[in-house]
Amino acid sequence: MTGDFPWRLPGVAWLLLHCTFLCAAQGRIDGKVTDDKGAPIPFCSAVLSDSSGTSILKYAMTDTAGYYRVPIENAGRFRITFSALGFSERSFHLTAHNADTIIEINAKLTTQPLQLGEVIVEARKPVVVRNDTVIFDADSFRQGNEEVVEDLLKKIPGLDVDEEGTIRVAGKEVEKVMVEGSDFFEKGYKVLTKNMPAYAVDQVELLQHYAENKLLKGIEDSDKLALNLKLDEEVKNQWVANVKAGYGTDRRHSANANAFSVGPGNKYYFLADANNIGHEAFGDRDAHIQGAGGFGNTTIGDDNRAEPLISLNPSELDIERTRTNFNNEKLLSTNAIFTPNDKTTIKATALFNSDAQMRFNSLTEEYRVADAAFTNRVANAWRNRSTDLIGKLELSKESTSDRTFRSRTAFHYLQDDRENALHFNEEMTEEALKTKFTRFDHYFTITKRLTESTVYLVNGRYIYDARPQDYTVDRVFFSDYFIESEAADRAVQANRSTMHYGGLEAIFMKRRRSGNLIEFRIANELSDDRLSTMFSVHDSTSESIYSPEGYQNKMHYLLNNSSLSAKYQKGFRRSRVFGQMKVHFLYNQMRSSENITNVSMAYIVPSIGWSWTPNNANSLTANLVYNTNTTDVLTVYNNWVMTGFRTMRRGTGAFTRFNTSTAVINFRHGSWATPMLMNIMVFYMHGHKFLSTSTTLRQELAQTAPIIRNGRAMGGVSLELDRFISALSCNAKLEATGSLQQYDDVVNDAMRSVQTTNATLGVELRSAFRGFFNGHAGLEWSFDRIETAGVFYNASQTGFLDVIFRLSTKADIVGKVEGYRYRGDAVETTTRYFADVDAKYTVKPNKLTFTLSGKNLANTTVFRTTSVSDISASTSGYRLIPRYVMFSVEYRF
Amino acid sequence: MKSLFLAFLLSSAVMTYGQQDVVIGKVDYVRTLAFSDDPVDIPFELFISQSKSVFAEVVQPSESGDTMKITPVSDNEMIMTFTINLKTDDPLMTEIDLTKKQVRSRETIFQKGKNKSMIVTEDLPVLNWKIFSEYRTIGGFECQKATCDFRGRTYTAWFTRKIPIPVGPWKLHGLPGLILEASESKNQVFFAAVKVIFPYDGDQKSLPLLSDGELPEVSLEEYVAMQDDVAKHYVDMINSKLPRGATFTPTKISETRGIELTYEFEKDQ
Repeated sequence: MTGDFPWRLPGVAWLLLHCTFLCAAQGRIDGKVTDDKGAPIPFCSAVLSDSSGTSILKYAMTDTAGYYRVPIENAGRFRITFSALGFSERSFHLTAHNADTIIEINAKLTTQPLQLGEVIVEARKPVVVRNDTVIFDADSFRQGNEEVVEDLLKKIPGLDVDEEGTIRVAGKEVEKVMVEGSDFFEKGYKVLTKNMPAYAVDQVELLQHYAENKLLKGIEDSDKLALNLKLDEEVKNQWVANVKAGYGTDRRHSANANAFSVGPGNKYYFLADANNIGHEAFGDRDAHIQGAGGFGNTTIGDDNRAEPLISLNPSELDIERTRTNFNNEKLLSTNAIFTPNDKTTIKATALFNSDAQMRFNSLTEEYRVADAAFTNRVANAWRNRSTDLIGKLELSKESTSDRTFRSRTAFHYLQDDRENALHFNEEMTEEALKTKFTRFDHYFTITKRLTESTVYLVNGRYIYDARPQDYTVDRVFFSDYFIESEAADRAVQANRSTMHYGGLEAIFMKRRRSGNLIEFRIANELSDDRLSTMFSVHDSTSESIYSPEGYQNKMHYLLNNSSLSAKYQKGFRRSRVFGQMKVHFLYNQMRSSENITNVSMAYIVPSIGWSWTPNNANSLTANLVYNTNTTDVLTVYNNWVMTGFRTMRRGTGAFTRFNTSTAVINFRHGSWATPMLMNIMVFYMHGHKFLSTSTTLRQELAQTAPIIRNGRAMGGVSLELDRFISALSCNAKLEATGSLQQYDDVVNDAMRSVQTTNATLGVELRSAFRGFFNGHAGLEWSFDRIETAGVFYNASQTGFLDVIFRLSTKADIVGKVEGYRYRGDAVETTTRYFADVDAKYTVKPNKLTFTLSGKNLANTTVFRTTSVSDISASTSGYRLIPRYVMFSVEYRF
Repeated sequence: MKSLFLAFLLSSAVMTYGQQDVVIGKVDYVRTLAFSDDPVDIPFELFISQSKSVFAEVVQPSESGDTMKITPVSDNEMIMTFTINLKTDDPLMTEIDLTKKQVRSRETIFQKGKNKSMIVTEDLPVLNWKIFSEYRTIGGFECQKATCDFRGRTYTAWFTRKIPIPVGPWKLHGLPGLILEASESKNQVFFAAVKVIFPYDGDQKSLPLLSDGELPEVSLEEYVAMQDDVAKHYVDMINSKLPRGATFTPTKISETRGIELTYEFEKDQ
C-alpha cells in the first residue's frame, strides 16, 4: 500500500471542501472502506449516530479511493454505519473520550446485491386543486412585514400583485376579491386589498373557473378567477380607513376617503370624494344604470329605457375630459352586506352624487348645401347642476344545492338642471333644460341544475323608466315660421316619456362530453312606452300661448317580442365554428292621437363564425351576421319636437324594420411577446334598408325627419403593426385605418348621395430602456372628406411626448407634452400645447405618499378644433381649466 | 508507434467510462411545478450508475401553443393574458458526476423567437443537509427527513438508507441514501418517486449522457445572465407596445427564473 499517501491527499481535500461541518471540531473518525477483495468502495456512506442508531449526528461519503472522514464534536458513545450500494451494511460501536479524539475505523463490506426488483411508489402531492379551489393558509405565508392584504397576497405563490394593485393569476386578473364570500367591491377590489389590514386574514381562497352563477359552473365557458378572504375571528368587526387629500393653486382641491368594517354577519363600506379638478368620481351614469342589471352575463331588457329626446351635451374632444370640465363634485357611497343565515345574503348600496359643472365653448358653423349657404356663430356658457341618488338591494338565496334564487332591485333618481347663456349670431338669450329621471329596475334569476352537464335558468325583469324634460329658450329665433306668433319671445318644449318593460326568458344549456356547447333560449318581452311632447311659443306682452299643430305628440307604443334561439359551438383540431339562429315574432301596436295601427311580423337573425389557427403565430377569424332591427318609440313619433334652440326632429310615423348584413375578417400574426405583432381587420356592412334623414335647413331652424332608404354601404380596413427594434431597445408602432361610406339623404327636398372617406395614420416610438429614464412619443394624422354636391374637408395632426424618470423605488417623475393642430376647409387652427408633470414620493409604502402635480403648465386657455359633417364645416373653441399645481397626501390608518 | 499508444489510451478510457456508466438502477419521478395556480406535472427518469446520475425529462407530446387574450375592464384598464409555451426537441436533463464533482444540465431558452438549447456546466453544489429523526414510509422504504437551503428555496427531502447512494432528483444529492421525495417550503417545487428499479436490466444499458460538442457549453453564470436577459427582453418588448400611459408590470424577474431563484455568485450584490 505504498500508493496510500499520494492518493489520500485529494480525498482529504475533497472532504475538507465538501463537509463544511468539519471545521469546528478537532476530533474525527476516519478510515477506508473496502470490499472483501480489498478494493476501495467509492461513494459509500459513513453515518455517525448515537449509540442506539436512531439519530444521525454526522455523515460523510468515501472518496474515489474509499477514504472518509467524519468529525466528532463532543465526547460520548457513538455508532458508525457504512453502507454502499451492492454491499451489506456494517456498523461499529465506538467511544470518544473527549472532543479531540481521533479514531480510525477501516471497514470491509461484503458484496450483497440489492434485489428490490420494481417498486411502485404512491406519491402524495402537496398542491391539491380540488373542485377548482386552492386554499392558502395565511399564516404559512406571513413574514411579519405585511401591512395590508395586498402585501400578503404578494407572498402567495401563483398570485401576482402589480404596482397598481391589480391581482393576476398566471397573467389573468381576478374578477373580484370577496370577504367571507360577500362581494363588496366587484371589479373595484383594490379599494379593499390596499386598505384592509393583512392580520385580519386567516385564509385566502383562490376560486378558479369562477362562475357568477354557481350552478352554471362547468357548463358555461368561464375562465374567470376570484379570491375569497376568510377572516380571523378576532378582527371581524374592526374599522379600516384611508384618506387622500390635495390642495392646489387656483383653489383646486381633491379629497377621497374610504372606511370599512367587515364583520361575519354585517359588512359596511363607505366612500367619499370631493373635487374641482374635473375628475368624475361618479363615473359614467350609463354604467350605473347598466350595472343594475343581471349578474355577470348580459341579460334581457338591458337596452330598455326611456331615452331623453333632448340632450345638450357638448361633443367629445380629442383631449382629456378633465381639461374642460369645470366641476365641483361631491360623492358619497355606502354599502352594506347582511348575511342573516348561510343560505341568504342581502346587499344594500346607496350612492349620492352632486355635481356643479360649467363648460364654455364657441362654435362657427359654416353650412353649405345645394341651395343654401350661411354661417352661424354660437357661444355657450353651460352651467349644470345635477344630483344623483342610487339605491340597490340584492338578495341571494340558495334553496337547495342545485337551485338558487337571486334578485336585484335598483332605484335611480336624477335631477339635472342646465342653464345656458347663449349667443346666437351676436344675439343673446338664455336657454334652460330641466331633466328628471326616475328608474326602477327589478331583476331576478332562478337557476336549476339538472345534471352535471345540463342547467336551466329562468330570468325575469321589470323596468319602469320615466324621464320628463322641460326645455325653454327665451327667444324664438325661428318665430317667422309660425305666422301667428311673430311676437313670440319664448319657446317651450315639455316632454313626458315613461316606459314599462317586462321580460321573461328561459335558457337551457348542455355541455356535451366532447366539450361542444348547445344552448336554447326562449323569451318573451313586452314594452309599453308612452310619449307625450308639447311645443308652444309664448308671447309675454300679449300673454298668449300658441301651440302649433303638428308640433304635439301623444303616443302609446306597445311592443311584444317573442324569440327563440339556438346556439351551437364546435371545435376541431385547429379551427372552431359556431352558429346561431334566432327567430323573432313581433307584435306592435301604435296609438297616436290620430290613429291606431297594429303590425305583426316574424323574422330570423342568423349568424355564423369561424376561426382558424394554423399555428401559434397566426390566426384568422371570420364572422357573418344578417341582422334585423325595428323602429322604437323614439323613431316613430310623427310630429315635430324641438330638440335645441334651432333644431327640431320628427319620427317615421310608422313601425318599420331594417336589415343589415355584416362581414368581418381579422388576421393576426405574432403576439405581444414576439418582436413582430400585426393585426389586420377588414369589415363590410350593407344596410339593405336603413333609416336616413330628410333635413330642411335654414339659418334659424334645422328640421330633421327620418326617411327609409335602400342600400347603405360601409367598408373599412385597419392595420396595426408593432416591431420591436432590439438595437434601439424601442418599439415602433404603425397604425393605419381607412373607411368609406356611401348613403343617400335628403336636404331641402333634394335627394343627394353622400360619400365619406376617413383615413388615419399614426406612428409611435416607445423606449424600453433599463435605466432610470424612458420615453414615449407619437404622431397622428387624420383626414376626413365628405363629398355630396360640394366637398367638405378636415384634417388634424396630434402629437405627444411622455418622459418618465424613475429616480428610485420611492420617487418618480412623469412629464407629458401634447400638441394639437386642426385644419378645416377654410380655417387652420394654431397649434395648442399642453404640459403636465406628476412627481410622486413614497415615504412609507402603503402608509404615506406625497404627490406634486402640475396641470396645463403651458396655461393654454382655449382648445380649438375643427370638424365636418355632410352639411357643414365647423370651428369650435373650448375653454380650459387654467394652470394649477396641486400637492396631495395619501395616508392609511 | 505513437498512434498505437493513443489507441490504447482511448480504449482504456472507453473501458473505464463504460464500467462507470453502466446503469445499475432507475427511479421514475414526477416533478410538479406550481408557480401558478395550475400545477404542471412532468415525468422524469433518474438513471444511476456507480458514480453518476442522469435526471432526464420524459418527453410527452404537447399540443398547446402561445395564446394571447385582451379583455377590456374599463376605459383605461385592460387585462392582457398571454402564455408562451416553449416546445423543444431537447428535453431537460441534469447530469451529476460525483467523481468530477460537476453538474451538466441541458437547458433551453427562448431567444429572438427561437428555442436555443445549451449545456450548462457548474461545480457540484454543496448542499448542507440537516438530518432529522423523523421517519416516514414511502413505497415500503423507511425514509428519513432532511432539509437544506438551496438557491433561494428550502427543500425537505425524504431519503432511504435502504438504497445507499447519494443521489436524487434534479440537483438534489449528497444524502446517505436515495432521495425518494423532495418538496419545497412554498410548495412550488415537488419531486416524488413513483417507481424504483434495482437492479436495472432495461434497454438503457449505459447512462444517456449528454454528448460533448453537440450543443454549445456555457457556465452557470453565463446561462443565468442569458436567462434574465430573455425575461427582461420580454418585459421591454411588451411595455414598449402598450398604448400611451399604460404600463405592464411583470412578476419580479427572479421569480421568472423557475426552480432556482438566487445563485451563490450573486450574493455579493
